[in-house]
Amino acid sequence: MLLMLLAPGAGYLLLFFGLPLALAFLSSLGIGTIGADSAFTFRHYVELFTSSVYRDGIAFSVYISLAPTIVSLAIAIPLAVALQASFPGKRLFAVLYKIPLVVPAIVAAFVVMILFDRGGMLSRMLLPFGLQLPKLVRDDFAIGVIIAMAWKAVPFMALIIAGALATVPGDLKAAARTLGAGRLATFLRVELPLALPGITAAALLVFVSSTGAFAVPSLLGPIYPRPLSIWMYEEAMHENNWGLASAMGIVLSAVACVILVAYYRLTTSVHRSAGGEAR
Amino acid sequence: MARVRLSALRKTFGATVAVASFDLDVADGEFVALLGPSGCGKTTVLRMIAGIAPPDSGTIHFGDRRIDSLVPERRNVGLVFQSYALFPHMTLFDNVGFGLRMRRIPRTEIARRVGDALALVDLAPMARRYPRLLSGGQQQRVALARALVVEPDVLLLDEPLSNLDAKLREHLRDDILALQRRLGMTAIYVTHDQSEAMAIADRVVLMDAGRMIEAGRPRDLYRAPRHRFTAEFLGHTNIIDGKAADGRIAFPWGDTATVEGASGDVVISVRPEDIRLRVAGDGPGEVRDVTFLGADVEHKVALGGSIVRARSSGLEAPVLVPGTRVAIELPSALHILNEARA
Repeated sequence: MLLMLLAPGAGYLLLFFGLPLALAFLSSLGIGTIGADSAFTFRHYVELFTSSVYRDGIAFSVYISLAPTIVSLAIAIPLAVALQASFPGKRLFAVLYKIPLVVPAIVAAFVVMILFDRGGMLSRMLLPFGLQLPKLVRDDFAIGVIIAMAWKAVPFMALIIAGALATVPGDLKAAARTLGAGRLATFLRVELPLALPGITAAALLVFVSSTGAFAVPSLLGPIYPRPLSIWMYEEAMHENNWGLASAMGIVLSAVACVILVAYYRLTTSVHRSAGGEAR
Repeated sequence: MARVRLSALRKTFGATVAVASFDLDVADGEFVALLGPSGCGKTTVLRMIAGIAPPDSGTIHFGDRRIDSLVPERRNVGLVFQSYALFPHMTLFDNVGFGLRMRRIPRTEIARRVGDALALVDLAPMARRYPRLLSGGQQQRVALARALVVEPDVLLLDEPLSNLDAKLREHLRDDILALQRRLGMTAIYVTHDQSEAMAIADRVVLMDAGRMIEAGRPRDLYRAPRHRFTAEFLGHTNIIDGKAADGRIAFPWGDTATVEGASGDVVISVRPEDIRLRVAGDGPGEVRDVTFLGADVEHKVALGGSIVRARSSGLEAPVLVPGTRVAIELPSALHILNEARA
């Protein structure tokens, strides 16, 4: 009976999430791969982890997921705090800051390119002053990628974090203030720990959406290294090597899972001990 | 612990005047209740004292220290909320110790003082628990300990018992009063419950529409209110119109009473429990309704075109059937209201 009740939900998940993942996993092991003979093999994984090109690709994928997440957290948290207060022009600001939400990633990438590239708008504006922008597009540290992804992610994060902060009851803040905590101490010791679930969720979502990013790193990223997402495209579309592409997809998913679990562990333990420093 | 002086405090929210020119002087160690219907401005007064709502104008002094422009964390108040407002991510120990940590008190002293404060509210064994595991009454006792442990100049309580059930409310009310007496703390207590205000406070300040209507000892306010609002807000009362001449008041139903110095149209307030009913076939009143309230029996009597309520209690309390003709016995000392503000 219970199984029957669970069937629609569980069936949906199995059909649309479990099945493709299982097929990709089998394909990565050489079973049922498109355009190749079906034979069990570990060679795609061996190739992935022994080739320095792909190993750099994995590391770069992690880098362009983590860095934008950290940068956008650093911007979105103060922004979310500012949105709690009332200030002149807040309504207009509350609309404007959400614009990146509706701009597709590829458009964001072109915006960054037009603004920050050598010969772009900013560098032309700085030219009369004899100043030159550092290399921000296709640079080794993928600054352009980080700018574009953070630009996309900040409003999304700020929206979630502002929502989480707004659920902290005003009485708790007032209680902290009357007990001798200043604004900053109240934020750090009361609001932030209580909003942590929302902040965690926002960070996770941004991180996960960044791991598979394709348009932004292919337009703004360095020539080398390239993230796994781009290698996947190359292998599947140009080399017709679906087995290797599937292995990359599985590794990408696994990396995301590992980091999510680690982050979750970390934040829950911080949350638990948030009030424990007086012991 | 300090004397608290509020002078010409005013607060508006947009076009709404929440508090209009409010003055109050609370003596060191005095327990004052701000009483009034919701929206009367009593909580706003408290929040202005705590520093959560800045006043538009006016001054607040704790002793000789003027504090109305200070941020809340510099005022040294203890605030207890209707919602308890305990930090859910902290244990009871950390909740109570929060104010001491903010004051950079050494750890060993924090441990000792938090232990003492929790013992004061009988929750010492629960120090390592989280607030969500506690009942409402226990949570409010923790909040009380948290407010008291920092030794505030004044203890502010904002409807602290309103979320608790009736029995627990009385119990905790007595606990709060006992603690305040023991520590000699100046306390300002906001409530909309008139019996709670009268039971707990040395002085009740009755407010309406952002203004103080009347203030005084609970007994004086109850027995000798100057204003009709006071008479009606504290307990139940009968408002009776009469015409007076030469110290004699004539009531619409024909009775008269002697009141020194009364003249012209007068309005008197008579508590239901001060009215005696006497069964009399030719009496001016007729019993309309009788309600058994347990401790009391209340009769509604039609008398001279209006309804008068009379309450009696105890084993001897009469229970009259509707339709019974009765005569009314008013108390010998009648209280005339000052109608100026009614």
